[in-house]
Amino acid sequence: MLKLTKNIFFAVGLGVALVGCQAGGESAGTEFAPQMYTSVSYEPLTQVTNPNASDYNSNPYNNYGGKKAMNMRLPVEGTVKRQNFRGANGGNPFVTDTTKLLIYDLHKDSIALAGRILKNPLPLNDAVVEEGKHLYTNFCSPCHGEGGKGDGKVGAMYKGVANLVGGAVLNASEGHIFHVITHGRNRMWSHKSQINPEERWKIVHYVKNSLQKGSN
Amino acid sequence: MKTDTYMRHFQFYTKSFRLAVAFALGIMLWSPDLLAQDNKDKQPQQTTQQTPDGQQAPQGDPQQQPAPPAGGLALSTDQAVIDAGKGLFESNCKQCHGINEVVVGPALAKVYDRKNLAWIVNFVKYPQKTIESGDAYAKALYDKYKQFMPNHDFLSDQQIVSIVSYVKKAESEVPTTGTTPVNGVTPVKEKGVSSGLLTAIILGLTFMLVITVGALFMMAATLTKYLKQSKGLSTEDLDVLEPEWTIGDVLRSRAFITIVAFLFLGLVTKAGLEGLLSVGVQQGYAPTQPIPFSHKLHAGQYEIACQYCHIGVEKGKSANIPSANICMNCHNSIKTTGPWMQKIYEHVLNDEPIQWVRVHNLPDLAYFNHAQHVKVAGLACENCHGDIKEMEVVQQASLLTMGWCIDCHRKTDVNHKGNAYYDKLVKLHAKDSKKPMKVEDIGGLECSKCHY
Repeated sequence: MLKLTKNIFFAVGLGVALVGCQAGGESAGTEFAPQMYTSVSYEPLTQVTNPNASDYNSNPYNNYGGKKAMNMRLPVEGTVKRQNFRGANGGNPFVTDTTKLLIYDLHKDSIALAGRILKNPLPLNDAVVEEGKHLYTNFCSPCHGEGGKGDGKVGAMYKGVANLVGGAVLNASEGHIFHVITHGRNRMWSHKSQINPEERWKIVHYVKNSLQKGSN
Repeated sequence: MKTDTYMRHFQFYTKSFRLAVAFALGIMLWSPDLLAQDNKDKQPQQTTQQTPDGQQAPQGDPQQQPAPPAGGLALSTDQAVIDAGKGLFESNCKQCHGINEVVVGPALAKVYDRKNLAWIVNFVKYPQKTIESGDAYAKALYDKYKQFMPNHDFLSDQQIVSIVSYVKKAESEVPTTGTTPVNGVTPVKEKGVSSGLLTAIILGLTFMLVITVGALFMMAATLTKYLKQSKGLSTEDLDVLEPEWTIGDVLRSRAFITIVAFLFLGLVTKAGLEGLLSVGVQQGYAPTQPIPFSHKLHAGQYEIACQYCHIGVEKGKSANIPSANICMNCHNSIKTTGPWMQKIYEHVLNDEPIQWVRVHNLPDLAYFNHAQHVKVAGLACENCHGDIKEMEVVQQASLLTMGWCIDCHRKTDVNHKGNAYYDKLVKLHAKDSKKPMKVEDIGGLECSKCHY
């Protein structure tokens, strides 16, 4: 009888211990083989917070203002932004007209110039407009609304969102819209960190050729 | 004598039972009152509408005078002009100007009293030029709203006048629209069945049940006691007094102990196996983040696309955690106060990333690419991340085990429409099979696809 009780206690103990391995809430659960879980080379989003993890975390963390649980790093000093390698002003003869405008270096204040000189380098076809629409839905419609009337749900909170299908924007040039997405204008802030030049030109195609013509 | 005692006991029990029922009912009736009171407190406070005129007009302006018709411009009461003005107002002005409320720029009600039409037309066309020309009123407006209105030189003089005509017509109608109270009638908030009320009802019912069962047991005990004291009982009554077997006998029997032990061991084994299988599985992990960002609010209520912040999801392996500058796109003017916003501002000002706690940790031994699944396959984020639009705190919704991956690769048709990469594979597949091409048919189960 005593042996039976002992066995039962052992079984219960084992069960409880194993249930404790489960993840949930604040607990990430037990990892089986952390050496195989954590990347040896740097991955920007790796995050090992265990201070005793040196045996399987061969890289020390970026000492980011004293916070050591991140692998994100600042670019090496002297790094040149790709977008500034060469730009809309010309310069590099090896770059064709089409690829030229995918790199953008006009100054924030040069909006009038941008509106005058820039032409959309992307071919206008259904596929590009379709992709532009997808990008518009993701990046623009929260404020400007699905139909471009400036009536998106976030726009209602943000206030002062431009109507893209009436008024000034209706007559705005492609370059103007591209510049505004890049650097923002009035209340709108810059979206260049989220949308790369090629995507911006796709959005421009969609806005000018589908949204403003009411064929979306 | 004995009968009397019994009756007295019985009366006592019935009385206490009635009292208990009355008490429980009392709790149930009282709590809705409490809740109603609560709701009343929660109703939004009606703020008094600020009168816009006078507030916006900077004081001591020498040019301020009632507008004489200037340059042949005059307000119109013609319905056609007002309708045209309404259309123009909605597409050009509404974004920044209300009739009676300040939005981004001043409220427009009575604007024709504050300045003459010629001035208004000129300002609407060239605001920045007017402000920089040293016009005192325009400069005062700029100082107050800290914002240049864009040029509206595409509007004709007559169009601008028609907008002002519409403003004049609309300012008298505005109080009947929107949420502003009309004649002191406040909008009544809809009252649903709250969970508090339900809990109160359940508690009341449980209490009644416990009291009833208790009273019944006591009554049974009293009755048994009474039976014991009487003589010449029938066999049925005797059976009640001295049953052939009691519950104690059953509990001590060998068969019962065996069954219980078997069930118990079965449960323990099940729990143990589940525990073993959950090692390395982080489903349900929902850590507290340094800033309590709510996906329910941003992605759910405001319907911001996932891609707006997780910009890597269609371009690369990782969906990416947004940097704080993306927060600032909206939070430069929406909800700019509060301790958590302050924390974000500090991160932005110090140029220091926010250290979010990673929720989904796919082991390095397995390769996964977001772009392939979201951009190429066209899968919705919810497929793997669950109902993220309802999550106040993000938790890992799926297992993220190999079995889970493979299961989906077996079931899912390849999205090859309009993707030339798959043309030859589709042709090859169609040779041998009439079924649609699944991911497993093009090597979706091969080890080296994900492990290398």
